[in-house]
Amino acid sequence: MSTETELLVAPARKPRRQKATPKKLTAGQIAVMAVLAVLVLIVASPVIYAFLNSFRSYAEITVDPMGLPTQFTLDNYIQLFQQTDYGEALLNTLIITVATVVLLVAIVPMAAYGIERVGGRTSRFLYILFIAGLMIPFQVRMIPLVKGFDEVGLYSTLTSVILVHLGGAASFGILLYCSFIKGIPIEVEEAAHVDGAGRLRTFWSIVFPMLLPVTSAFVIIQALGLWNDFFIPLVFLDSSSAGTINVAINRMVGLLTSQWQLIYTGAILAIIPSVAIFAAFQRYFIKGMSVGAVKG
Amino acid sequence: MTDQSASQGQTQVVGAAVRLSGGGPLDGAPEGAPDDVSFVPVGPEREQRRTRRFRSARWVMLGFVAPALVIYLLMVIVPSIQSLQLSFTNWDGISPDYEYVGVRNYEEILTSGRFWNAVKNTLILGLGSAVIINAISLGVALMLDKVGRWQGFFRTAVYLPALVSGFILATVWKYLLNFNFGAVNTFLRDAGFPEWARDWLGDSSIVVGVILFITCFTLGGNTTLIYLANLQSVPQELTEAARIDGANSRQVFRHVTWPMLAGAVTVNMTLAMIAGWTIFDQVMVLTAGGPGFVSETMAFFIYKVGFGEYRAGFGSAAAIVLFLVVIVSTVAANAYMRKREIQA
Amino acid sequence: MHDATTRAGAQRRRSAWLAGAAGVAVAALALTGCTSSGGDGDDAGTAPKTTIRFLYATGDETWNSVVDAVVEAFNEQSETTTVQLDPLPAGSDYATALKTMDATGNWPAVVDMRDTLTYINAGKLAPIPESVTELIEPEAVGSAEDGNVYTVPYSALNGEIGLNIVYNKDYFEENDLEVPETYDDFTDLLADIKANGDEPLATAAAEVWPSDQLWKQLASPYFAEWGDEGGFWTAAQNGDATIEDLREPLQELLDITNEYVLEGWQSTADAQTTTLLVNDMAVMATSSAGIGRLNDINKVDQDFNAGLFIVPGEDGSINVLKNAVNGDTAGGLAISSQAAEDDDQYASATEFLEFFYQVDTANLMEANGWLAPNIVAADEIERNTSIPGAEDYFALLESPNLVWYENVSDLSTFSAFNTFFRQARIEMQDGQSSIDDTIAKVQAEFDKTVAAG
Repeated sequence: MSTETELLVAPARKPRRQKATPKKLTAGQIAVMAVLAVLVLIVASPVIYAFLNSFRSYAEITVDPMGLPTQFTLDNYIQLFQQTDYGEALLNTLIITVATVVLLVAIVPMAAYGIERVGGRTSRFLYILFIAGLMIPFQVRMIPLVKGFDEVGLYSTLTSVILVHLGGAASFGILLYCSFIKGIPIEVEEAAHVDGAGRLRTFWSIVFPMLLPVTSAFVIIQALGLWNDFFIPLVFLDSSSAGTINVAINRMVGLLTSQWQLIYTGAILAIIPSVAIFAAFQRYFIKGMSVGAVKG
Repeated sequence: MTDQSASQGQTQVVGAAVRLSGGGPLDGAPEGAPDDVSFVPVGPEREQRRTRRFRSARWVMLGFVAPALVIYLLMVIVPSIQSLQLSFTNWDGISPDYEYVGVRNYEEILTSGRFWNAVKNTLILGLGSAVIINAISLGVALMLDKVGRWQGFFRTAVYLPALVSGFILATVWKYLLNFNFGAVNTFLRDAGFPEWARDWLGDSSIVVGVILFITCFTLGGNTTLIYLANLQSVPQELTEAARIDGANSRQVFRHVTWPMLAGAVTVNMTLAMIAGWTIFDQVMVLTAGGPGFVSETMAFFIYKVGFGEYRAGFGSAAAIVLFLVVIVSTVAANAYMRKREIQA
Repeated sequence: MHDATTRAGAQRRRSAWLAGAAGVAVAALALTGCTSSGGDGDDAGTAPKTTIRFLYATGDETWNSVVDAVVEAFNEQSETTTVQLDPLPAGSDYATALKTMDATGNWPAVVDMRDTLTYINAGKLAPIPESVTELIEPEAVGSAEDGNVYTVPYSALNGEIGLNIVYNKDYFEENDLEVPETYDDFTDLLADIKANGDEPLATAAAEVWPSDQLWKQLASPYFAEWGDEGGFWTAAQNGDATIEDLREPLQELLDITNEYVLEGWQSTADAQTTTLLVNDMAVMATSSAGIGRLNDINKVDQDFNAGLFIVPGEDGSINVLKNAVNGDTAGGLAISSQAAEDDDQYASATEFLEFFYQVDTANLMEANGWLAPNIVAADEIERNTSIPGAEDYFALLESPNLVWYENVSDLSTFSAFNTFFRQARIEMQDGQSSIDDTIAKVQAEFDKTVAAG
């Protein structure tokens, strides 16, 4: 159990490379970089393809699917917002992402804390109850959930999507937070308690800040998953809603013709926010990931 | 959460975190201390007051758990039980009433060749994606470890593909893999390898492999970062000591690095498998289960038949079977890996 | 105790942060309420008009523009009703989309239907009044078992007349080829093209439903033989016919696929057949869109000279499935029971449908490149013949060889069986399963469907 303690104390510990790295590149390094570059290019090729095609018209794409754009106009981008509900879908996705993440952060760390501190067999029972959810595939609860939401009139609302995601993410969150909270020395809370702080305040002002590195990783991964999700909105949002990004793009794949020029444009627009935010918060994110991996 | 790249990423972080406590997820469960343990261990005379306050504290702690618990019960546990109940009916999803048909749905499922084909594909995709993604991530992490100054740049480049949704990637890949005019085949033909140009998504003998390949083709951004961090946390003294003793690179890896990673690998693989069983987006977009039935997976089968063909009772039965498959294979695989880990 | 101040400060910041987060969450939840019901409160202004929603599939560009034009024209001239457009995601499975719409209990007044029988049996559709049906050519309208008409056509794409072969007219001219008049002519045509070293036919099976395109044309002469007995499927249900009776067309399907169809058909999407045709990758392609496909080709390549025909039977007759209640390729417009409960909604829906079948509306549709429905006053419509190949289509409608037949099934889960049948055929065409196995498999599935009632 001592490793957990060290874990939380050592988040900023620098990795082992302290000696100066040689300035010249060895042949081995060049080879490795070349391999990596090729891999990245192959994996990114769909994105490049979508980007190029977002500047081509429907006729151009249909006649010559693998051709290059002849001009760089923003026609498709304008058309996307004018002719489809993509704009609203973007907004929906944003709302779902933000609301779910905020709610998750509000209730999951707190719950994990409660589970860890309530002690006794209750602790173990609750923990296992939540973890069991990890093994339950979404498909098992899908159909009753649809029926259930319909009965309370929440079907095809963003609320239903948010709630479904909350249920699913709770298991992961509990797993993650419980193991970290174990490493928080009780003495700190005890001190706060002696000073007269209530449980709630103790949690939010003492414990929660210590969980921030984990929270940042949790938030980023959840947000990414929500932004990119396809299946759950597909099932829970029908035609009365503009859907989310992926659902909206899916609708553009039609029966007899597909609006390829809009599909690619929509795809690029979906990627831009993710990339931008990642680029901005990269450091926190990677630190959050590293926290989980560093051993004393 | 069903977005593949994200749920895998999620599991990697969790996996890394849990690894520290020495094993599988359940190992982290609270140990079930005796009920009267006091919240704050202090001297005997105050113990009574503390115990009393603890008792009331207990309810407060439960209160902390309450919001998440309520949502979890409503969104996960209750519907799962309802699904079990529905699996014994013939509800079609839209009529107001239905009848109980006992185990007829299960009989139909278990004797259906189509279903077993879906099970086979599910196992291939689930195990395959877990193994391949972890292998690739480890490999890439090892490579990243070697690039010195450029590591930051490459690390970002490697992670970027993980930011794109599986759905979008699959949608575009579907077009790139088109037999007649897709970029892949055009490239192969132009480069002088026309025999290599195949109907990637239409050739029933390779289609499942192609789906697996595309699914894994995100370089597993999250997993790579985890492994990289793990690699870099291997204490330098150990590797140096090994080298001084005359070990070459491979031996260093096998005897020093790998044992350090084994725990992380176990957990990551377990959780990656769980995510792999329900792969849906790629199957639906790339082939919709075709040609014919050949590339259907259980998750897809449930959506298609249970939802799309108005057979909600039948679909629920299939979902329960999927659940059992997940549990059995996850526990088995996890046990196997833990045994290997101890030997490592 | 000096910690107290910083802690208090931290706590204040903490509470502020909490409040902020809570505020965001609440705002987000409130917004979800707004956005998800979006569009409903829009036409508050002009009060007395009834607003009805019109739900339709958006796979076809031409149809989309037709709907826009027709609804706009209707709204302008109606004093009692405003029609609000509700485009339904076509995606790859319209039936699923409909089902989830039904799960909401959110039926619009006018709906573009699929799997109609299921919904009729569940009581979700209202009978269409005579004032509408009398405007339509009787042959183009089908009634259900109880004698009521539940769906009306939205184009002369009646039944399966839209299932045809689109071909490259210039190629035919250059190579002295003619449109086949009998089935043997058709197989000769395929062989001739192949002898030239070109690809005769492109089909699509990336999605399941286009597999009907070639199959139905081959099978219709066989289905037509059972027309007197209530259709093939009814006879099969009664045990008078079996899947074995379809062996010949299945064999034809297999042979044509193996010898004459462009490689890669298993993963070709229907939308891609346009690309294949204009790039001369195939001389002919199957289609189920009638004029829609011609329109698409014309949009992409104005110089492409397209034509179309339907594969004839051995005796030269062109057998086409009549628009049945359970038509699973073409759809029909229906009025929902939910809307019919409200007199105003029902009256508005009726008014809209009556407008739909006026000559002026037909002209409007034609002008947009759409084949107007078969109304009684069809002679007065100005046909749009500007699209290459359109004249072939109109000629088909008037062809003396045209034979309509019926093939309804009243089994409640027939659509599930039909999907299975399609997938099994693809499996067979792909060589994964022999004809014998396929026939056995499909028969077993059919028996199960019958048993389930």
